[in-house]
Amino acid sequence: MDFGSNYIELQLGSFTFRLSETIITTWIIMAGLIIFALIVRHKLNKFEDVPKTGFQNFIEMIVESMDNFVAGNMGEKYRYFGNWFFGVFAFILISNLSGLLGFRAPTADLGTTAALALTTFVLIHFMGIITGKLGYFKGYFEPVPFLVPLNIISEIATPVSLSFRLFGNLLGGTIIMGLVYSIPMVIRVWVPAFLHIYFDVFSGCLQTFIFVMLSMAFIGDKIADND
Amino acid sequence: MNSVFLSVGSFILTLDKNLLVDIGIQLINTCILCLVLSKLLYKPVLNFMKKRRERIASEISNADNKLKDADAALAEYNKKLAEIHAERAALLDEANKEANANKQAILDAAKQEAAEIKSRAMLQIEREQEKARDEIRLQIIQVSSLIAGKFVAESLTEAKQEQLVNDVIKDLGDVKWQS
Repeated sequence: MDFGSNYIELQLGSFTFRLSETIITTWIIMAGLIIFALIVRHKLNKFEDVPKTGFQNFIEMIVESMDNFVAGNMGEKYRYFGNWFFGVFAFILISNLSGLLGFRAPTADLGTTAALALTTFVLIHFMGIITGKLGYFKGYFEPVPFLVPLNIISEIATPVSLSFRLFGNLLGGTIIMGLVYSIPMVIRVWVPAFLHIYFDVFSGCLQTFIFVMLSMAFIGDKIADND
Repeated sequence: MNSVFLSVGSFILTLDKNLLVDIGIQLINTCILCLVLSKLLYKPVLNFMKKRRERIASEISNADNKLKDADAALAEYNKKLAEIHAERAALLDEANKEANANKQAILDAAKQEAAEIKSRAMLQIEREQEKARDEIRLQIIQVSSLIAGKFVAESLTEAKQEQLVNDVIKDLGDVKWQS
């Protein structure tokens, strides 16, 4: 049984590079999403004021939902974060659902989830500095300067918890599915289908929502502290 | 740069240089994906919906303005209608007054004319009566002349004369009674 991400190791000059299944799947997902975006961009010219196609309704629904979601969590002023979170949401969701097509979810790799959590971490502190100026740094000395190390640890814990939550959930699902698939076919009839519904569809959607909502909440909190 | 294949394998979690490289690659991938989705999908669709919202809001505003204009025109129309009603009532009142005045004038004229006709008729009657009297008088004179002629023609006895006078008086009395 192998639950890990397969890789091939390449030597590029003096640099050793590990090209993993995660990266390849990510590129496939990216290609799929970009092609979808191109199709939308092309069809946008044919969109009508009163939607007549299910496609237009679907596109408007997802974009409007994200816009309202961002405005609801971060405030009207920060609606522009929808540009970022729409991409993150789409990427995590498709990554989590990719297990249904036989791929190993890129989000079951710490490299992916850590990168996503890192972007949230950067955005939290970037917005903190932009909105709070000196007050942002002052916040680390509250309530007493003695607690500065704890405040720093708590800030670092945010991306760590974000990345490990998503990684752990998806890896757990991947391992369980791997174990189920190792059972002989005769015994496991229908079982994987139900487990896919739970681990890929239910847990995948839920974890996507949790990751994006928490990211918004953390950035929003930092903005609210300084506004 | 030559690339050399080294090995294959699999990993679940490695906390080494490769993880950092993976994080770096995924960071770039995520940024590219978010940028492309934002440029190609999210922003254009949001702009499309925003423009549509603004267009609908503008149309609603135009409709409201037109409704206000229509209300104002209706109020103006009602005002003018009320003025016309008032004017019509005034004209009718005036016409009634004029008609009553005309009626009274016509009645007065008719009464006056009737009175004149009556007066003329009375005058005519009086003239006829006068004429009749004159004729009677003339007849009396003629009868008197006739009697006088008869007196002269015959030598009358006293009894005869008295009889003649009585006859004449009798005749005269009949004439007076007739007039």
